[in-house]
Amino acid sequence: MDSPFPHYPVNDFGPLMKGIAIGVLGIVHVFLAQFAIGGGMLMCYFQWLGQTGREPLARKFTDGFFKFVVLVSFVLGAVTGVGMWFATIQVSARTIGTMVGEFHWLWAVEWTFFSLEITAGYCFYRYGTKLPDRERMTLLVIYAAASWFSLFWINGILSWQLTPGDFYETGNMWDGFFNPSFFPSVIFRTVTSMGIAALAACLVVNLMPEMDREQRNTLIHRAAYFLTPALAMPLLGVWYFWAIPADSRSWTLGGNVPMMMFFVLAIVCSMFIAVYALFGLIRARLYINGMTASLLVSLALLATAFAEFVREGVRKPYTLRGYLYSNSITEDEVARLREVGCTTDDPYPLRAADRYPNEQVAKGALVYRNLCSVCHTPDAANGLTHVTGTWTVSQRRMNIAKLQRTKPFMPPFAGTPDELEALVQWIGWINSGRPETWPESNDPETLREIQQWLDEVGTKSGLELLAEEGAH
Amino acid sequence: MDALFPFGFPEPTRFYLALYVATLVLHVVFMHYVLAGTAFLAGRGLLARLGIDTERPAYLLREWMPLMLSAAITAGIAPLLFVQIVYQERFYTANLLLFNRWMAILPTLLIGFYMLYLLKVNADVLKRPLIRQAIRVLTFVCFAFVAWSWTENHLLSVQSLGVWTEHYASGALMFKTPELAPRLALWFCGSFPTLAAWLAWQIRLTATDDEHREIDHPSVARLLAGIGLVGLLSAALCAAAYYAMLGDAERELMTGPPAGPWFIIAIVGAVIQSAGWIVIWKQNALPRGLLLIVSIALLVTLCGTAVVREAIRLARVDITTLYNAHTQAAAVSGLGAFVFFLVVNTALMLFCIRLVRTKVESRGTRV
Repeated sequence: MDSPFPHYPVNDFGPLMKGIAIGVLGIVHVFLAQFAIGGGMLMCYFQWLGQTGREPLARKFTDGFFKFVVLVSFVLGAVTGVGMWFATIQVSARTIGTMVGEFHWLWAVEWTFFSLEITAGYCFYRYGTKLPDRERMTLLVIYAAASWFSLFWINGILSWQLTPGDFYETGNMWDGFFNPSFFPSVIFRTVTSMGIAALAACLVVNLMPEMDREQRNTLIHRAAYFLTPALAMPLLGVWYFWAIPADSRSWTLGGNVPMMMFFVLAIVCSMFIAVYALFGLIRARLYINGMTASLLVSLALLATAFAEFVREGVRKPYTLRGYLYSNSITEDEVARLREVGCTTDDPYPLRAADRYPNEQVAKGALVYRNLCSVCHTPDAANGLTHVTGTWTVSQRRMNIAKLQRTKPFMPPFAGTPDELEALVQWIGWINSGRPETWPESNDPETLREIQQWLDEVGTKSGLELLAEEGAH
Repeated sequence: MDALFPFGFPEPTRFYLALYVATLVLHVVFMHYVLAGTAFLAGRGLLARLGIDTERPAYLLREWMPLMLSAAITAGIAPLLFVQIVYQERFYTANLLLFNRWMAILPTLLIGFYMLYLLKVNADVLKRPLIRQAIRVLTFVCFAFVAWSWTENHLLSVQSLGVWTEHYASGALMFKTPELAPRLALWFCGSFPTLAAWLAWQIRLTATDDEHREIDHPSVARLLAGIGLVGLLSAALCAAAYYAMLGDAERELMTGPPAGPWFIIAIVGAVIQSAGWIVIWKQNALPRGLLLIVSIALLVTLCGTAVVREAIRLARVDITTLYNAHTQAAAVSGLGAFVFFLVVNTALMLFCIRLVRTKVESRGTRV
């Protein structure tokens, strides 16, 4: 992983921050994938209920539910899965490139499980109704196992991003795969998958024709038992939190306000579902109609969305902890870019360069594009205008120069003093409503002061600084 | 690069290139079915006007298309993975430069996917001829758009930095190049012989005895032979047009020692396929042995074409700059796990198919 810094063309997502674009797609994909995984297990359970004579309606439900799984998961899930790859390239080609480089064989292993999942799934979809129970169960078990193993493999790669374990010391791929958050994460996701599948089953039962209320009620309460493992979620959550780095934990506990809010919302949504499932569905054996089921599925989607936002967010300031910052610059490259500049070698020109009032502001736009645009917009979602609006010019210079100290979940500034001043002027120009003229700022004393701040803070990440100071 | 492809490269590059080409062929086998199949369904009305009975192939296409699209997408994951290893920055840059226009393949694929299911639905409103035809055409347009996007992406990925920066500065949605039309046409026309072979096997293997009695075998055989032959002939014309457009470097590599033998193999395969389809046309039947020969020749053509396609790319890309990255990738562990699970999961896939075939057929139905 010692490739020279590659400059990729950077796209403007307009008022959306890039994280939102990939986040929406990611949340939909994760939700559908978990639905498919839990769905496989749920169908095995219902097949067992049916073939052992415990539940006469089970076979009918399994066939109906599987069609739903195919239509939703095989189609939407498959396309959004490929879409995740493309979306990740749009946000950080370097991140996905590094991950593919390190884990391509595991991705290839996952591909073999996808193929098995599709094969077993379609065999059941097309011929399940014509098969005897034993063969139906065989296909369902293979389908469920294949879909769970796809979670197993991708979970190792994704959890490595936050908790690389001994990977960077040993260079061994398996050390990275079986990292500290691997097991809590995979078990947590398995339980989540079961819960999502149970809620989706409640919805599907309500959509199935030729069933009376009593029959639906019976099936709903059978499916509801799949929600009981969710009772272990608080413990699993604590285990996961124990496994992630302390600084990441601190972002969710107040270190980063949006992160904390989303964390709390994820817990609240999950609690609502758990309480309703436990007291309403299992103890009081309440009937739920299609609307209530839809509401519960929506709550589960929201819980997934908030939890995924937190999972992505707690990696800050990295996309690959200890190696690659969220703006696709490695820890080692920061020092070099402070010498040569982050815009110097960028071959891609600034689009509509003539709209900028002078070269310095145009350079500031380039600096923003290279260092900030992956997470910020100029003045819309997570806009720099909003973040820095109350800062004085001098404050801006110092806060950006000492960025990793200003906010430890931000990466260190990776450019020259000249570039930093250009960025400050660009922000000022944006904050002032983009006037036609804007004075250039070329005071050598200002640049010297910026250089001094950059030297003072150094090139280490904020997390390393915190750790060192904590050690002192 | 004087040795036969992929032997003229260092070990890691050779290995990943071979894997990429092999998995690409697997993807192409399914992708051809979807592309040509949706085109066939969209153009079915024209064949009906010529008095050609297309009922059985159309029925099979409607029934199998969702599965084939799933298979095409799933099989596409592996070459998508290996192209990132082999060409890295080039693949990513092309994706980024096409941006929204590239990402549009996702909603397009989704629409196309659901349209395939709509084709199977028997609701009254969907039985109206105009609506039926609109769905068929829209489905084809969706997959044609995806094919066009991939071709454009590929062609942009092999351009120079100068072209990339110019494209970026312009903010253009599309990358326009004269190569696009013949290349896309070659892919499109070349998909029909694959479709013909697929359909021939499906008719042989999936129809029940009752269905076999109902099928007009001579006319189906002539139809499939016609599809195969027209596809091969038009693909050959497109290939000639595309060849005429290529520069000396590309021609040298594709006809020289690295890819020349593959080029010849592809042509020989196409000739054998043509001969096979002509015999099928004359015999008015789909004999198993002949279909086997045609299918093997088809695979040979696809493999040869995939290598020639790669040779054209290699003539434009300085792959020596990527040797180091390939060496680093090859040093990563996990290959053993991949081989193990590939074998186990392939066996399980075959087991699933066999289980369904034996159990369903024992109940008097063909799979």
